Amino acid sequence: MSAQRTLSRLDLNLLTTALLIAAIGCVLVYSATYFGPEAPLFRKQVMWTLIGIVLMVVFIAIDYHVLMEIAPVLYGVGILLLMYLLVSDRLTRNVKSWIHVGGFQFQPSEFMKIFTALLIAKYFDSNDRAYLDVRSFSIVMAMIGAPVVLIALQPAFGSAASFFPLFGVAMFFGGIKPKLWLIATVCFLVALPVGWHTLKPFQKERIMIFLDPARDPLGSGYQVMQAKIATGSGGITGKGFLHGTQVNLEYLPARHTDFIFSVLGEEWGFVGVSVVLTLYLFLILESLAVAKASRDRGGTFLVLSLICFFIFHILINVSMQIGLLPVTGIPLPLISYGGSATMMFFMAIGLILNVGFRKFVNV
Amino acid sequence: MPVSQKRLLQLFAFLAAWALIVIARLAQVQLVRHGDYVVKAQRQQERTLALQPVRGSIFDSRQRVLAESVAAESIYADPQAIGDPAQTAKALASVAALHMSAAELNTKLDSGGGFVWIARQLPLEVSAAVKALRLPGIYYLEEHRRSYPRGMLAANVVGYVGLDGEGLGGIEHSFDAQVRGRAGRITLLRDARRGMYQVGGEGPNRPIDGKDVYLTIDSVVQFIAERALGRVVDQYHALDGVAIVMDPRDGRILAMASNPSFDPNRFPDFPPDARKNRAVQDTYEPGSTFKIVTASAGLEEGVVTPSQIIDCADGYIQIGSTQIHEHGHNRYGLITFEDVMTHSSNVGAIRVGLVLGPDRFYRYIRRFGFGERSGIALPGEASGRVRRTEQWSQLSNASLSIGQEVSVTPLQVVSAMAAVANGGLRVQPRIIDKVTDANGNIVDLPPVAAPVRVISEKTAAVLNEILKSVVSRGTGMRAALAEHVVAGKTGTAQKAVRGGYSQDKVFVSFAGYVPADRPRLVILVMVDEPKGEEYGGTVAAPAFKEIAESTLRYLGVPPSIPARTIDVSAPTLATFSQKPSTTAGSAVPDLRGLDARAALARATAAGFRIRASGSGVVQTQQPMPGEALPIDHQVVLTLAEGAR
Repeated sequence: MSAQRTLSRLDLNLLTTALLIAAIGCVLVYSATYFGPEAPLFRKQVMWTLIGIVLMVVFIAIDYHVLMEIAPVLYGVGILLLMYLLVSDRLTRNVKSWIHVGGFQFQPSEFMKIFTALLIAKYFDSNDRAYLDVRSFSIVMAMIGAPVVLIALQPAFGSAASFFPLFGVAMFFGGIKPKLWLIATVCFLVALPVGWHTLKPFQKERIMIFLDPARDPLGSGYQVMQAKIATGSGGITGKGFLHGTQVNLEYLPARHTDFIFSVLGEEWGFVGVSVVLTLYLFLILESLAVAKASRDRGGTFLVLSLICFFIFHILINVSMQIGLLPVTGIPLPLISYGGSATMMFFMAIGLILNVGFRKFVNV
Repeated sequence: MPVSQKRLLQLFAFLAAWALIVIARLAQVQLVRHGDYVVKAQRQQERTLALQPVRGSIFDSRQRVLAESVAAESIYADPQAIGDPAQTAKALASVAALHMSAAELNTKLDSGGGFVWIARQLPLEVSAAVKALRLPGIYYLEEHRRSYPRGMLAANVVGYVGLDGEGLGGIEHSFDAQVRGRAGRITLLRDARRGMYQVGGEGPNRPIDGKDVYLTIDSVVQFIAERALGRVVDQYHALDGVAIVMDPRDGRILAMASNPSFDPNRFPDFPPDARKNRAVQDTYEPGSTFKIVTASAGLEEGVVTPSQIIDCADGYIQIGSTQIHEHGHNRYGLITFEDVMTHSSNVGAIRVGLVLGPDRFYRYIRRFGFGERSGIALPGEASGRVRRTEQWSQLSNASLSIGQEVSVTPLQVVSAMAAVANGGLRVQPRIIDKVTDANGNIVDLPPVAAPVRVISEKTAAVLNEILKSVVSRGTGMRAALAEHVVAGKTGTAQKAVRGGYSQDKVFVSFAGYVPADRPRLVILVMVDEPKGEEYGGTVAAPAFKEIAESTLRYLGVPPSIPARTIDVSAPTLATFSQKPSTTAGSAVPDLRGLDARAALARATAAGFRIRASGSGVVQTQQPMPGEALPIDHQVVLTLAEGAR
């Protein structure tokens, strides 16, 4: 297969959209950090993006069937890393989420999302029944549940919650009977109060504040309020590049990471927000098309899992900024600053392109 | 088809629904409630502060500072930025110069809100002590504090300024607009860590400093006047008093003293009454000093001459059902009009006033400036009260002749006396010399109202002789100076009480000018309710003397009475700008219109001898005024009855 034919089969629309979003992300990181001591983060984010693109190319080049084959190994390594994190006592930003290698640090939990998605895809590739029986349902739940529990123990509530799309995809597209839905729902309801007690106080507080925002205007709710002020004061066209006062005056918390969407809202207004959301929508629709066109069940499940990651991150993150959901540490795909997350999302894009690229052709 | 189309559609529907909610919410936040959030953003990010301009200074006529602004710092707190209010309060209280207790400070810091003053306009060394504590949430604002380096001196004229830089009295109030300057605005951006960044305050937002006001007041003369007034008020346990020193030639007020007074540096410690400028804000019944108006009108209208004999034999005069007595129940008998004035005879003055009649008399009263504001640039000036003739009672003409039934301000009395001193020209009294901007350019020279002639030069000259005799041999003898001839009039007014006049409460005054020949100063001393049986001549006249003596010496006015002729009072007349009599070949004075006595006095003072014929006032003279003659040359006068 010639290089030209290979390129022509690549979904360039999807690729271009992803790169455009990543470029906007770099610009926003610059906006959010240029004035302060965090200014070097812009160059680091550019570097993460470039590394992400390289990883994306790697994940396009290697046939996803091969990746699914080695998924159990990758998954196993990921689980070991997460366990290592729990026994190590190095706290970074109050949680044990980071592994330090040389001068760098990375979050195994982000890569674990890809590995788990690959493992689930592999499982469904060989399981094409219309409905999951209790046994396969339990296997899938265990596969997803293991990393979730390990991450929740770090404790990184947001990261753990971001595995939720995998549950959804597995149950919804894997297909489970109403009886199992009922059992799942009962389990969920039972888990809720138990889970509540295992939550750290600040996590409980976040949820309480979400339910009653006036509860603590200067505490955790402060972040949401500041995000809303930034987004709201942006208006239709925004205050302009580098002119966001909420950003410049450092009112916005985590402005280059979890709350970067508010930077967009403040500096580029409703127009900028609409453009970015449209790009995301396009990315999602293109990916769904890929999922539909996949020639095998593994590819479809892989793409669906990955695209549900995107949807989940985007909606949770945006909803959080405008007070629709409680504050959780969930980044905006391809835009928020962060090495691990950026690499993970580029790997996901790579895998989606990978599936699309090989839809009809035996390699 | 690896997964069902239906499930994909369901996923898509779920996604679309959520996306719609998100978009709707974004539209609500960014479009519908945009304005609210802009306000919220500004509220937390921006602080607009007024940049106070530096208030202009107030100087006396010799550029001595009476009021100035000195650098000061105010301390304020942002309670929300303070970590531990109790600790901060304790730390602040340790600075003794703040004079605040920890409890008091804690209340302030605990009050909520984002701004509270800790202390205003502190001296820099105090704020430096607070700064050294390095307290978070405590901020400093450079301000200016009004300082009156001379304390109580001229306080009632200069006035005072409130904490917020508003002129509340005196010149500080009436010239507030000029002295205050224009405030600038500065927008401070405040970041989330409460750091401040300045983004405004230049160009049109810059504050413009206030202008400087130069008064005609001379601090030394003011001091002399205040000291003399204070002494006499204390000595006689009087309620209050006023002293005014004015240059009659141009109306410049050299001193304007009120007693009691106050220290504008700490004005709240004094009762409002002490902050008044009594010279313009108080009115009173002048009593006998007002007789200069009666005399002026009588002489000018030709109804009386100085040598005319007036019947004061009964010691009282019957007006309708009322008897008006001489003070002290004296009986003067048949005396000249000059003696009516020297003894301050009520009966004599009333007889002249009655001959004048209401209409003519009223015209002169108004011409002298009574019943209207002088227009001096001081706040709260009273106009006094002169009733129009239609409102006069049967008694009014008589009462007014001796200064009753009329209320006047001290400044009006000075102004009237100055008109006599000035040869009949009334000049507007003024207190403002000039106003200059920050670069020293004169921006405002108050217009000088054209002098108004109230009586002729001749009448003024005659009255001058009479007023000199008041001091040389009448009620004002205690105002006499060794080196200068003084002209003046005493006043002892019984204070009006319910249903008549009080027997023991009096208002005493002495108004005069000096040197009588060439007046440099018009001085009024007025004392309210001196205790004991006192008169203007016993209480106010000595104070006049003290002020006049010290001021003339300070101003370097050479003695106008040669030491060897101290007892001979025949000075030149002020209104004639002739060279001193010792100079050979001086000009012949204008003697026309004077009676024989006055003409003699003036000619003698100028160094001429006189040969007169006839009686009455001088009709012609030879040689004519202004001609130069050798000393001791004779001037031939022809006199006749009636005005010339």
